[in-house]
Amino acid sequence: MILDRIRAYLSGSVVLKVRGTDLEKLLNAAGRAGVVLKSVKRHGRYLLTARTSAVDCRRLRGLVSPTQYKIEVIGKHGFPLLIHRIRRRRMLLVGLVASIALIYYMSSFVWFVRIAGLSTLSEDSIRQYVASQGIRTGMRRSELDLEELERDLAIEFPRISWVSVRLRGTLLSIEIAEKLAPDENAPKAFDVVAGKSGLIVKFIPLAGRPLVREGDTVEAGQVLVEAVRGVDGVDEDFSGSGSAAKAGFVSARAVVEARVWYQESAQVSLKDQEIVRTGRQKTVRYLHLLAWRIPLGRLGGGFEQYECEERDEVVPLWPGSRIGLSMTVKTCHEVVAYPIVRTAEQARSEALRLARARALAAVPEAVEVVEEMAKVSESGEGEHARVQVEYIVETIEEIGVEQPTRAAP
Amino acid sequence: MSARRAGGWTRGLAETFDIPREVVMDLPKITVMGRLELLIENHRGIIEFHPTVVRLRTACGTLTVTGSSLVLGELSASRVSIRGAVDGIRYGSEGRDTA
Repeated sequence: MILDRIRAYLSGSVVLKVRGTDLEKLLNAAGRAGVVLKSVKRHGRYLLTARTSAVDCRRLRGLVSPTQYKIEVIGKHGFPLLIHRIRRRRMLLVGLVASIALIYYMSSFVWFVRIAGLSTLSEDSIRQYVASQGIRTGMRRSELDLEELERDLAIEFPRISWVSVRLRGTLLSIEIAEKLAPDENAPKAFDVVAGKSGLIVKFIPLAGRPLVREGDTVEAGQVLVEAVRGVDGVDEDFSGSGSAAKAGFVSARAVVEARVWYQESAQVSLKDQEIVRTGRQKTVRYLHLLAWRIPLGRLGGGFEQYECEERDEVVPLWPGSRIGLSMTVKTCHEVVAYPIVRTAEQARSEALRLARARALAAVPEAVEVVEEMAKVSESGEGEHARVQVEYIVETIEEIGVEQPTRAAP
Repeated sequence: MSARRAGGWTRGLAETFDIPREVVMDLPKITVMGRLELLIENHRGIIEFHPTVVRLRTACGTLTVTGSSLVLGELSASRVSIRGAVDGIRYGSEGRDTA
């Protein structure tokens, strides 16, 4: 089927309009003469349209008397027609060939150099070095030795641990990964402090000087175990880190479990309204150009009630480009407000659900909840009546966190 | 009588040697694809063609195809495909060709 279509396209086809009496006779004569007609449609008693090849069209014209049948070509399709049109527009062909040749020629040069993956090294230093190696925009792609450039970059910049130089079309992409050097300013030793306020139920100090005991109530940020100045030959396991041991400080370590409370509240009115999106929305994009925000299109007729949200996006000028158009997409959703009337019991359970969900959302994952408490109160009357819920979730969790010690210099 | 005898002889030949009967006996072969398309091989000409009816001459008599929006998808000396919404296919004796 596809081959037939390709063949039909290559040989070209014409759409005929045939007018005359006894059109069946014409169809039979065409069939006998080997003329293949396609998509034959009858439009009334004296008119039909059909598609056939250009060759068969000529044969069909020769078969019938022009006085009996009037055959008119009303459409032409296919490759021969394209060639015919191109022949009539030679300059278009010349322009097309010239454009392709120009694009082909221009694509044999490097027009963009992109450097990615830098953290401490400056892009300018890489660019300067690359330029010093004779690599510049406008040079021929064939003159580039990518492997040599990779080697030279790795030798010139000792901080580079891995470098990849690739050509993607006219883009020379240099991707660099730098070595991870130890941070000289990193703290030497750590205290253990309370990450959250709570009541300590389990306290096992492993290293350092303990400042609290089991049963103590602690505030978030309070030091629980303090780093201490160690003695020579301190156990490496107890030191926390080799550098701390050399500096003479022992980092504090401890297991600290505490009861922690998470409290959230929710308030639900007996008479309320719910905002629901209808699904209709309108979007407009704004182009940021210097200090201007230019709308691309109009929001059109506004909705009676709506809520809008905006998000920023950068549209790259070409694939992989770091330069792009800064745009804001503003989407306005039509909304409808539905009135809601609740009984006191419904309002209570809704407030409980909301407050519990908020409180549990604050609890970290994999932490055991040991108790939940709720305090329900009502206020207001009539339309202004509302139910308030204070919800408390109690957990037992590890609260000790490391913090650079205040004792070390 | 001679035509019947010839038909019987060719039919017997076709059955004995398992040769397609439409080839030996020049019978029309009709392929139907749902109600969307009909392919008729070995027809002997078009008697009538309208968007609601197509009548073809075959060795078995007149073949009438009724429907709506009927179009001849492809028409050649011995093959014709009819597209559209086909309602019925019927054989009639009118115009029967016994040659």
